[in-house]
Amino acid sequence: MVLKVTNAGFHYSNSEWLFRNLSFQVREGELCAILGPNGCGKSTLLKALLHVQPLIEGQIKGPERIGHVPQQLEIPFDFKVIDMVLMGRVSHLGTFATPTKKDYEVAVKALNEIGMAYFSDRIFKSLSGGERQLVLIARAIAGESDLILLDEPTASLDLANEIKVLNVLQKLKKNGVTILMTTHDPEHAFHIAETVLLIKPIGNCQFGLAKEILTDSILSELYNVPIRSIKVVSPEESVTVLIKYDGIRERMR
Amino acid sequence: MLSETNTLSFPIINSQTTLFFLIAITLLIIVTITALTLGRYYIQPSHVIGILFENLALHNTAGVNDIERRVVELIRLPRVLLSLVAGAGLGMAGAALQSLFRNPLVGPDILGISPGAAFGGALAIMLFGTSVATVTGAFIFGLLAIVVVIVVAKSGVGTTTLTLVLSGVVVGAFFSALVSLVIFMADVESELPSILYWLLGSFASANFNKLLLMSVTVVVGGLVLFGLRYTLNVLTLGDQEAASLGINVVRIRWLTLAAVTIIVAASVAVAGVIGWIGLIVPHIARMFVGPDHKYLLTAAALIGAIALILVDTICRSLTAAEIPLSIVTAIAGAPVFILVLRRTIGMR
Repeated sequence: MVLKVTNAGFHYSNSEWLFRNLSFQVREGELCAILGPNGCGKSTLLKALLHVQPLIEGQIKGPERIGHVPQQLEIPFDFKVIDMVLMGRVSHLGTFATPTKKDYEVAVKALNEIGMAYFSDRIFKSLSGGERQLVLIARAIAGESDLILLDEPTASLDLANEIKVLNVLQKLKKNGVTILMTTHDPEHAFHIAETVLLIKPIGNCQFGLAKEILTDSILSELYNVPIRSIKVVSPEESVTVLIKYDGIRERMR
Repeated sequence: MLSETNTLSFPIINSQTTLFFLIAITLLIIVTITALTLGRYYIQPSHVIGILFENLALHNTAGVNDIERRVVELIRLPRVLLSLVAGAGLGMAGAALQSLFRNPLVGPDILGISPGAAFGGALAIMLFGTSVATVTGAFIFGLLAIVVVIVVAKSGVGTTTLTLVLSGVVVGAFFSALVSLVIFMADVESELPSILYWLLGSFASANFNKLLLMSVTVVVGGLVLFGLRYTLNVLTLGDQEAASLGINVVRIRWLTLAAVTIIVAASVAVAGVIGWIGLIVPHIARMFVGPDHKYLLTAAALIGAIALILVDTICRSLTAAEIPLSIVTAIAGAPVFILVLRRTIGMR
C-alpha cells in the first residue's frame, strides 16, 4: 500500500464541508483517477496529500516523498527545461547543497524517458502547454518518489497533446510508477486507471475498481447529465467510449 | 520519433558565463583603480598602483609623493572599497529578494528595512550628532523594522509572501512618516542639513570602521545567500510549489530575509539610503548569466560593485560640491531600467 487515506474531510473557514468521510487507498504500481465536478475539492485533496493544505479531519498515510505535477505553473524567470527537471531533485538535497552529477544524470534520464531530451536547453516559459506538462512530469520522475500526483494533467491541452500525456502516463505505469491523478474527463479513467475515486458534492464519496464504478448510472448522477458507454469493436481491438453529448441537440432546443 | 540518445554533459560552467565573469572582474579592477586616480586631486594610475602594492615591495614607487600617498590610502581607498562592498551587497540582496517575492520589480526597499534604518539614522543625528551613533542607530532600527514587518505579517492565517510584502509596505510608510517627523523637529540651522544630506546617501564619510561593518555583513549575508543558491532557484516557483517539491519554505524565507536585512541595514547605516542599485543590478546580471543563482548572485555582486563605484566617483568628481548618491542612482537608474525592461520583455 503506497497511500492510505481514511475519513478525510476538509472545509475552508466559515463554509460548508468540501468533502467528508473520504477513504481510499492506492496500491503500488496502480493508477488511481479522481473524478468529480468542478469545485468538489479534487485539487484541495492533492494539496492535503502534499502537506501544503492540512485536512480538517482524517488521516493520511503516505510516502514522505511525493512527486507533483501542478495544473499550471507560471514562473517569473527564464529557467531552462533541464533546470526545471533538476528542481525535482531538491528533496534529495540539503538546504545549502546544489545538485551533483548524479542528480543531473537522473534529470537527463527522466527527460529521455518521456522523449524530451531535445528540449533540455529550451526556456521553460517559451514552451507550449503540452510541452510544459511533459517537462513537469519529467520533473516528478526525476524526484524518484514513490507516488506521483497529477492535477488535471490534460486540462487545456489539444487532442494530440492530451493523448501524448496519457501515453506517457501509461508508460510510467508500465515501469511500476504509482500514480494518482485528478481528471475532468471520465474517459481517461476508463482507459488508464485501475481504481477510481468519485468525489460528490453531497458528501458520499465512492471508491473502487474502475470497471465497477464507471457505470452509466453513476457517471450520469455524478455530473448530472446523461452519459452512456458503448463498446466499439473492430477486428484489432475493442474499446469502450463514452457518449457524453447524447441528446445534446434536444436539450439545447 | 527521433532517437533519444543524449549528448548532454554535466554543466560545469558554459563559455558565455565564463567570459562574462572574466570581463566583469577585469572591469571591476579597472574601475577601482580609475576611481582611485580621479577626484579633485588627480593621481596617475601608475602611482596609484605603486601605492597599493608598496608594502608588498612589488612595485616601483619612485615619483610618488606623500600627499598622493595620503589621498589614496586615507581618503580614496576606504571610500572606493566601501562603495565596492556596499554595491556588491545591494546587488546580491536585490537578486535574492526578487526571487523570494517572485517579482522582478521589487528591491531592498520593499520590506521597510531602508525606511526603518533611515529613521534610526536621522534620529541619531538629531539626538547625538556623532557618526558612530548614526551608524548604530540606522543598523538597529533597520533590524527593528524587519522584526516589526515579520510580527505584522504573522498575525493572520500565517505568513505568506503577500502578507510579508503588504506589511513591509505599511511598516515602511510608518517609518517614512517618522523620518518626516524627525525632519520637522530637527534644528533648521545645524541638524536639518546633515539629516537631509545623510538621507540622500553619500560615501563622503567613509572610513575603515564603516568598511569593516559593511564587509562583515556583506560577507556573512553573502555566504548565507550563496549557500542557499539552489533552494532560491526553487523558491522562484512559488511558496506552494516549492513546498510540494519538499523544501522547507519557511526556514529558507527567514534565512534569506535575515541575510538581506543585515546587508541593507548596514548599507543604510554607512552611506544613507541608496536607491535603485538593488532593483536594476539583478536584471542586468540575469541578462548575462540567466536566472540560476549559482551565477546570478556572483554576477549581481560584481555588477553592483562596479555600478556603485562608478556612481560614487561621478558624485564626488563631477562638480566642485559632492552630489548625493540617490540623485545620481535615480537619474542614471531610471533610463537604464527602462532599457533593461524593454530588452527583457522584447525577448519573451
